[in-house]
Amino acid sequence: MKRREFLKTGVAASGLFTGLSDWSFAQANPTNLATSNRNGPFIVVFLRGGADGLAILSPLEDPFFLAARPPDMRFAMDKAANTTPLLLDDARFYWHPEAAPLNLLMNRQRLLAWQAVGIQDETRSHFEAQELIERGAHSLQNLNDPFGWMARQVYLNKAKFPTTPIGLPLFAGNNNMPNAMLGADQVLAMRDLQNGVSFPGGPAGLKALQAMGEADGQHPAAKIILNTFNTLDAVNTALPKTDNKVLPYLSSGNTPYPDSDPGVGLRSIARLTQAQVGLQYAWVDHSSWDTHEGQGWRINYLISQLSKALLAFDEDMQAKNQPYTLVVMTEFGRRLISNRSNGTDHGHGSLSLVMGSKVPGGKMMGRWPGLDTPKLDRGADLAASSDCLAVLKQAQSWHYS
Amino acid sequence: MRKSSPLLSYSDTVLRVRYGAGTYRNGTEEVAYPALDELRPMSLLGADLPTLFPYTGNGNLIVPPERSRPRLEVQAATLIQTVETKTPWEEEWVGFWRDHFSLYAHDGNVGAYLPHWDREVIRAHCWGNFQEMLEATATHPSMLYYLDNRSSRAGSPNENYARELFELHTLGRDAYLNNLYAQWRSVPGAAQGKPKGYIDQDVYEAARAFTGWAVEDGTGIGGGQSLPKTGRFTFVAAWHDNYQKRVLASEFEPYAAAMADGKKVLSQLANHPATARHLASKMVTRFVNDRPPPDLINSTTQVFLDQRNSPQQLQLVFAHLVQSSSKISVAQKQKTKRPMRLVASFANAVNLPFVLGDGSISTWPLETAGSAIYTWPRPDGPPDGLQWVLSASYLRQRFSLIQSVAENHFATGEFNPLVGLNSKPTYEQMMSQWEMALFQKPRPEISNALLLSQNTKPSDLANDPRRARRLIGLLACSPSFQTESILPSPEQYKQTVSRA
Repeated sequence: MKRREFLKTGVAASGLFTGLSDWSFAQANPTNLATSNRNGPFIVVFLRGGADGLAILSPLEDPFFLAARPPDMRFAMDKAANTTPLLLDDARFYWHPEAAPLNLLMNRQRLLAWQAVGIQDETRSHFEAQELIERGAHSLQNLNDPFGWMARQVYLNKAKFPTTPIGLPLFAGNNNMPNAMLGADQVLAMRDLQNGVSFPGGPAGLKALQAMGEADGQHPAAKIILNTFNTLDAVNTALPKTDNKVLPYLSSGNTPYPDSDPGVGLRSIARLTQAQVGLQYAWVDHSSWDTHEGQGWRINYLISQLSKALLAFDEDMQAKNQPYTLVVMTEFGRRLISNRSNGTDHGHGSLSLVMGSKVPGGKMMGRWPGLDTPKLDRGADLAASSDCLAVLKQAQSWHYS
Repeated sequence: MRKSSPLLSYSDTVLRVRYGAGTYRNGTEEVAYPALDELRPMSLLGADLPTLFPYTGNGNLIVPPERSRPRLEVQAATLIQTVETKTPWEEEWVGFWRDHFSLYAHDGNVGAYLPHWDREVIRAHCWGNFQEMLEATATHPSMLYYLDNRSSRAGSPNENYARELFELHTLGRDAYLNNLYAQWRSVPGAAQGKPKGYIDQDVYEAARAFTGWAVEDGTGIGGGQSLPKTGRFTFVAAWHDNYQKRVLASEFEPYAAAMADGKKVLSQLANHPATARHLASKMVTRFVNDRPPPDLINSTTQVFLDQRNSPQQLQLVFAHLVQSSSKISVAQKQKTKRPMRLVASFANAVNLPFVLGDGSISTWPLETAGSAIYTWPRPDGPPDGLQWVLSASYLRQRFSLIQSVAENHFATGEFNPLVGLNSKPTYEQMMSQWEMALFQKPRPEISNALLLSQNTKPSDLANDPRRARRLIGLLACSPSFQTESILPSPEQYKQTVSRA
């Protein structure tokens, strides 16, 4: 197997992750959950479908970019959210107009933008690329274990420290568990916790499900049913109530959570963090970034929902004095040259964002490979000068510092 | 060729339409529409494409709240069919292909044509020949819109369809060798014209082959001309890339006949061994075990390949699955019921005279209890396996769905929980009867745990039918009722085939 030459940079040298031990963050693991909880949750917002980083933080003065994207596939410089460009290597970057909240977060030193992030693998398949990232692997051919990387963190903690994690170490603010949590049994995937988690048939129904789960315990579905309902019970117990009715969560920030993805999922994470259920890792999917067609109008909405949600979450956490670290990432970027459907096809490098209480915000990270054809990946796509997993690793080392 | 029963027999069944008054924009004009609440037959189930076209919203001929009607009719009719069928594995087979060629029907341009897709693509072909089925999907407006091929043009084609065609519909990701090889020539087998897998170069070239495969949706084609508005497939020669291509190490001559390039790609893919293996692996996973036995995948792959020229290829593959899995014990082939099958198996177990009621069961109660049909948001289709079908948010809705059916919350029918019992049955007697109905064997340990949790003594008299129905609904929430063995025995299967 011959892997393509990976762009070497100071931040993200390849070959760092040779196996499980490297990817276990041994240096950063807290010795117990209380410590971990003091750090707050580590969160990933995953832009499913391959987000066009070039359209979110655009090199608007680069002639190669201007030549590759017709005017309705980019924004005018006077509409950009920042007037002074962000600099990285020789390139100058402008935030998309709908990304004004991200510009604000950057000015507040809460957010940094990491350019040209990608996987080392050559795949342009959504499902392979997502799985590589979620499994924390560089190859799907020889996976060392059945875990997603977030589950692996918790699992390794358990192996090292025999105390079972209390409560809910893993949570996804969407209705399907991400592969990053594959293999974990203390996990909950639920988009909206605003009104708590009621049980079918009320408390009596819950008792019935638990009793039958125990009595029918040999059945393969029993364990998942019991785990789920015991977890839901624990979460429900932890949520504040009056007259046994769960109170809606109140943000402490000025910016309201948008009632859309990923805002709803982030609000659920905020709620669980406040409820102190032992949350260590959380995940929110933001779908529909696969903009093969009609990218212009579709991406406006996506960027707007993402940016507002991140601002709302950070303001809320900051006002509550709650530490956290959040990484925004995607499986790959998109082709530099747009297609004739006013869209873009699958590319390679993209943009990551890192936000949080211990993040050295307000700056750009990574290396900008340039958009001149010889510098493109396979002559077509933005190269990936930083590895996705390196970004995650760096963000976690800030998180546990 | 055998076809799966279409949903047409439910065209006269009524499904409620209800919405409040509102307005929408038609160009610069604000148009008002009145509130509506009526019971309407599901007449779109047999509709042709031109009839369905206005439901895309094109031309604003249908008010916005009615545009989801085609999808809702398919969903409701599929539910009744799932309950009424005497051969549930046939509906599972339909479901397999529905998920394999996954569509996102909340997109109006995709969902408008859904009755036609379900009838003429999935049900019409799922017992037939795979290559024919593949061609039917490739030329259907729902797929042409969903994966954007309808806007793909020579020069800078849209790669969405070609990529998912290779990865999801046919060869599968195990055959995607892009991280191993950068040149098509270096893919093993390429020199013999039989590459064992594909790389991006094949996807790019295939995207060119499908340029011009489009939909008659009124789009302008230059010179002041527009396509008609019928929703039908059309090949627009002016949009097609006519030059030579090379897909999977095979040369395509320039200026081929209309559609010949795309059809050649479909034929290459349908007959490739990687496609057979990909499909066999998915089938065995779906019908036998979340962890599919490798020898069963191998033999199914072989049957798929051997029968690839047969007009009933897929039926023969299914028959092989039935036959070869008959040696595996029922306990070793338990699969998790999806929500419709859950409703159906409960309704059948308790002899419920199931009716659609006003149809409200087939909207959110069903849609939130699992991945609803035709609405998985990504082209890979909903994941298979116990942990996905029983994920936390689904589980809660799933159990409330069973209880709703047991307690008739949606006017779907009522059953007599005390039927066949003596005049003064105890709860223990009542439950033991329903244990047999739900589990086909006595499971007193489950019933007793349930009764205990509800502060009910097994020796108490069961004289309240409402309470009895509630308990039976809860019994169906036990782990054992969540799974089943899907495939029939060879004898059962032989009977249905000879009847057909």
